[in-house]
Amino acid sequence: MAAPMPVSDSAETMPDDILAAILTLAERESGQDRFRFKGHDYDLQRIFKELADKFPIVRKHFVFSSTGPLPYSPVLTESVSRLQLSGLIGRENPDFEFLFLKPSAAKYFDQEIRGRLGPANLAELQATAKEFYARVSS
Amino acid sequence: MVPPEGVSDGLEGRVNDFVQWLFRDFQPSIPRGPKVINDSLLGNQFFARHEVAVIDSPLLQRLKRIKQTGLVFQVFPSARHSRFEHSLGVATLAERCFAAIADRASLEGLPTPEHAARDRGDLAELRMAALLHDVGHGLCSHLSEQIYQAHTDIKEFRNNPDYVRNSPGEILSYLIVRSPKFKEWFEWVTRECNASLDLDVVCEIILGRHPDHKKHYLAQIVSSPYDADKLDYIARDSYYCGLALTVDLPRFYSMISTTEFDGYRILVLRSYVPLEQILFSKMTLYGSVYHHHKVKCLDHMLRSLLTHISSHPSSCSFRIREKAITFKEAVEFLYVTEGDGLL
Repeated sequence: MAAPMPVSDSAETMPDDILAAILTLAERESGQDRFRFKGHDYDLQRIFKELADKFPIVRKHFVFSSTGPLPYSPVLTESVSRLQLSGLIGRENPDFEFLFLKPSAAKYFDQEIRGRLGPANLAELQATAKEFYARVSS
Repeated sequence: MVPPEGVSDGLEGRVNDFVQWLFRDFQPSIPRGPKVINDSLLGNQFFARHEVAVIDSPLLQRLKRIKQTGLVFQVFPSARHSRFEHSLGVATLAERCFAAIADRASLEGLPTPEHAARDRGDLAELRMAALLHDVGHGLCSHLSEQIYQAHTDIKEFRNNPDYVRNSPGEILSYLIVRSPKFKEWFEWVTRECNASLDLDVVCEIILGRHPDHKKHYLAQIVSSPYDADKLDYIARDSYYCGLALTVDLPRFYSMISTTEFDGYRILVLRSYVPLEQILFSKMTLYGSVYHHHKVKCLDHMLRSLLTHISSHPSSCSFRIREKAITFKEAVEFLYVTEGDGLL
């Protein structure tokens, strides 16, 4: 039988987990039932680059290119796409400018991610989410 | 751990080993003159003497044995075109984009490219990068790329902010062109052909960047959302698969230009229509060809075979010109082509 392709350790946090955690914690920070924010790739890349410069946990999971005129992390674009595909976030019609969090995101965070984060990581993600919310709501 | 004799440690060293292996029995010679190569899609394509030497080298000749669309030919039988003719096509289309930008720049009084000769300066470097941009492809092109991108050596490279934007194939192309063996041979060719181009700039253009930010658009002609690579593969893949897809190239050339952004001179398309055609063509190609359910099935069969070989190196490894292949390392996928009897 062929050996399975390499997969991550289940206890390890992946970029998708970190993104889902930041968005869920930002939703809680906002106090809104339905958290929506401008989700153009250009805006998200810029905001996450600023967050990566400040928070090591973001920097560890989202490597930004040091070349070219704009900050760019392919992993961030892929993570946004995968969270959409898996139904944790959605895009609003008619021009798909806004992203919003679906109820399944909070459920996923509480049941699957929170337990894998130590207190230090959780505190850092909470601080990151607060900064993220401040940036998308300004 | 000390690597075995004759085997270099590190990805760059292993890539240089591959280039040495490839050039081992090659008798280098300088072509008598430039060449015109006729292409079914693009018509007559002109190549300078030093470019002909590169085309004749094992590095480009190897691409004749790598199909552009991997196993697609099992579903679309005429899709047997190779990375070789694609590479020649990208060089030609890159020059056409360059000429269109220069035309528009002179009309609008914008900075124009400094050199427009095929054997020196900007145009020569652009064409050479286009010609060499796919030399890092291995067995079944993107299929093997999907497998070896999980290998640690490539993953480490792609975690470096300098290379995070690039695909594994682009990184291997870059390392091949930057390898001491290739560099040594290339310098001899350019000297003999009286050509003048900076191989370091060629390497950077392959990665989609240029050391001079004012010439960033040159790199974008080879690697960007609407680059010469896409213009060629959309036309070529659809033609050989029998799909009627069109990108209006004359319109595209009339709309391509450059602008200043944050210290960089970047490529811009002044109409959304050609961009829409590119997007629509890509969607159709992905839906109908690259992600055709039977193509995906074949891809997975081959993937299982390659994974099996790498999991059972003692019983399943094989040799190509004395090189033992186990698919344990990313570079090993370069040694194998579809012409080696595996498929």
